[in-house]
Amino acid sequence: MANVWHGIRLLARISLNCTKKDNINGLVRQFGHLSTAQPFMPTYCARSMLLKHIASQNAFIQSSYFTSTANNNSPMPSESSLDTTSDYTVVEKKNEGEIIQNINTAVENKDSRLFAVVHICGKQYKITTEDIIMIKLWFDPTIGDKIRLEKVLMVGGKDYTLVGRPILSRDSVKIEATVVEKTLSHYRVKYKYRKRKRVRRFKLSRNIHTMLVINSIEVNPIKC
Amino acid sequence: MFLTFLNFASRQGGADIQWKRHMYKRIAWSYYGRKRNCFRLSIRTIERALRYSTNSGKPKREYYNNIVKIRLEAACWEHGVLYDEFLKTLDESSIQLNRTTLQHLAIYEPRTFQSLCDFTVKRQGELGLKAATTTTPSGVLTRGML
Repeated sequence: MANVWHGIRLLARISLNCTKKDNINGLVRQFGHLSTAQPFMPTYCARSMLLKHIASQNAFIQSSYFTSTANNNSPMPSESSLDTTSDYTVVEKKNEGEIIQNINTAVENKDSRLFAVVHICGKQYKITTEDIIMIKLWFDPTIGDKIRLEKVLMVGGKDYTLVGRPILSRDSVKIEATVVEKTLSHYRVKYKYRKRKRVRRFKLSRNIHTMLVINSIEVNPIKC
Repeated sequence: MFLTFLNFASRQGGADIQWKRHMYKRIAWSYYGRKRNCFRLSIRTIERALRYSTNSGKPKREYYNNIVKIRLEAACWEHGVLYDEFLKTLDESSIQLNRTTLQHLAIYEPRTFQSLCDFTVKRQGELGLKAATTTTPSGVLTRGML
């Protein structure tokens, strides 16, 4: 694992008054690799991350630095590592476009299996295609319904992930699922007992379980 | 002889008492020795078992949440972030991934998790810089030192 990532370049654009963009309120992560065993991957060798805001005041501070992989020797990070140790330089917008272009090529290639983190009924599930999820709560759709899952918190493939703040927009992700089964859980016992007072209450209850099969996860290329 | 009393006091004529005990027999099928077969002995163990299972909901959740916390903390340390600051920075950036998904990502999607950690480190650095550029609050004397 340590051989795979060897350069990380981070780009962050921050402004003093930030508002979210409609199209993509996404924190986009992309990285390259260096192993020759994977010939289909893009050839850039930096992993970069882009934080996108559309700012009313155009005050851009972009920073870039290279770090090595995780330090397995030092269990507890020292206080100094969290201070500002990087260089701050003002960079052109060109880098940002390059990253987005690379992501878009990876998106269009559709080589890797995509995963997504989805929010359903108050719980978060990490899903891929062909998954079966069990929702242990009341879920409205009936058996056979085709559903589009709206609250997508994160989508990713082998070389990129899109992180929503908090949710990715409908334009960028589409996740389809079908409701397959609606059953009851096993019997759960609730037993109240008080000693020496002849208080015994025995109750059995069953919760409704809904099974969803994830049919597809589709990601659309990012628009700038 | 006065026998009317016996008509009302008789315990015969009702259903077999084993019907009431049938459920407890099913619960105690795997117990050891006479607790498996004799009701009076098994009911003591069964009642304790059922009591413990109902009262274990909260400690069970705490136990698993603690495991998640330990995993997340370890994963954060590998990438040079402190656990509290990692979560705080994610929350401030309105990334609403909960801890169970974060620890799952740390295990099964390591690249994603590393990127999140790097983002938090970067963000904290920026905030540190930002503090220097903001104005001092009113009513505070700094004499130019802050």
